[in-house]
Amino acid sequence: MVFTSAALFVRARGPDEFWRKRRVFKLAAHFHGRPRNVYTFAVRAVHRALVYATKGRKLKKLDMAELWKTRVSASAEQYGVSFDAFKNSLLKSNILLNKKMLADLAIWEPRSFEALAQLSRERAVVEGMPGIQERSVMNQVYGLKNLLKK
Amino acid sequence: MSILKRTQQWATFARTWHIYDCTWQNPFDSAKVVKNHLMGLHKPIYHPMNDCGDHVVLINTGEIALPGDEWIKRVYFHHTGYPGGASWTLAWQLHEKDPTMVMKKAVYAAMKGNLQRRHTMQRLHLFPDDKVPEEILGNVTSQIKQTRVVPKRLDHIDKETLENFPAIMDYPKDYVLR
Amino acid sequence: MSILRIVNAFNRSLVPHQRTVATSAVLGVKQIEVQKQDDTVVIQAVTSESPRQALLLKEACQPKFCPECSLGLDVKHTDVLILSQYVRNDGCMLPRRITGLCKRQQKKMGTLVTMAQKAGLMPNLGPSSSKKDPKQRFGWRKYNKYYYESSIKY
Repeated sequence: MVFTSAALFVRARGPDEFWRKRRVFKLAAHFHGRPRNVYTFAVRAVHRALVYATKGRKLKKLDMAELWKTRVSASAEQYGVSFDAFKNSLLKSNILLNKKMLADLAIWEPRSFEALAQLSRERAVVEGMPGIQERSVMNQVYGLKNLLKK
Repeated sequence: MSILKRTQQWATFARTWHIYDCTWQNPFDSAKVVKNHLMGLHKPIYHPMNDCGDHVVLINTGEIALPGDEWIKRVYFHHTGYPGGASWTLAWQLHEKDPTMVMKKAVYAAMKGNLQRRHTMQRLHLFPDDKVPEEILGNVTSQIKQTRVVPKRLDHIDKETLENFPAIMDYPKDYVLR
Repeated sequence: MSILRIVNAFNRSLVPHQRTVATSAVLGVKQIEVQKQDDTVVIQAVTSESPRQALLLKEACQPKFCPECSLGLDVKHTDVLILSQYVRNDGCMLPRRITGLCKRQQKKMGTLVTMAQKAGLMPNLGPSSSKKDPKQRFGWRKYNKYYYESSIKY
């Protein structure tokens, strides 16, 4: 709201309307074209933007979950374990790390992740889960399944 | 940033060159694997905005295998844009014209259609046989595992295996050998 | 009708599985040899030891043996070393009384053999007029193809 002349300043009706529009214009400050400068367009665009923001709060969580899943499955498959087998066998081994932490470990602590992957692989073989690409030492141990169940 | 960290950073984001042998592989199953390497989906640092895809060299694309009679069932459509400009090409005819085309289209179709797709495709190098230029082969440091076991022809199996393979059926007595 | 069938089955069960009385010497498989001496052609059946005698699996010594029913093997159409044992020299499937397979397996093996031949994995077992190199086949048949075993219905 720039008042280039006194006449325009007089045209601005009342303090209430000024602050109300100002609130909308502040939200529309980064828009492009008329939605930034013209109130009629600005208020519509701001409404739409707020709806997007509300939806986006949920979508962001889904997007992040998908990204973590991609990252964890990518790094688990380096060690010959599918994502489902990896996650399930970690759960069976009582390792309750979530996807975010696993993704962070995969990036910043690859050795810790490798240990987890190997552990889960052995567990998955014992439990007879599908999706194991590499053979494991546990394949040769007879009766291990019964021992672990006790 | 220390020299060690800088090297680590450089090594993490460096592009790797993979090689994939298409002999007796289904192009559409292989495309899913190849796509992962092209887009960098096989790396823990993957992000849609992160340009971390690798190069993939596909060799022997002329030797791909399709299941059943898919060579005559799969049809590629093209339209010139003019009236009556539609054309349908069977997969085997396309393969006869260009032995890399079926594989290339399979990888292209396996990726989601966005602005990045054509740039990602630039990192794919296809060769109909195993003759790869030295400057490309020199970059290759990794091999992608094939999706299908390459079957062996009976007349290509060596004599020793043939003779020592256990028999599971014996001829009945008085059988006339043919 | 059903009584007759039962009686027939009973009669058949009385007959021992392998004949004990033979009109000719039972020693092994016969091979027909054709020899030419001057202007006479001698055609004789030479009885010899079966070439598979030494390599025979212990389980396969019984008269009835199926790789799937007896051993639980999952035979694929790419297992040409197994399939070629059920095939004659000209690529024909051997009949059931010779293969000793059960009815279902006989049909399945026949289909697997067809698959292997169509995929060009057993080009050396075929009629003499056939193209020995699968790459020489006509049209789309010259390209590599494989088959799903799950497409076998029985």
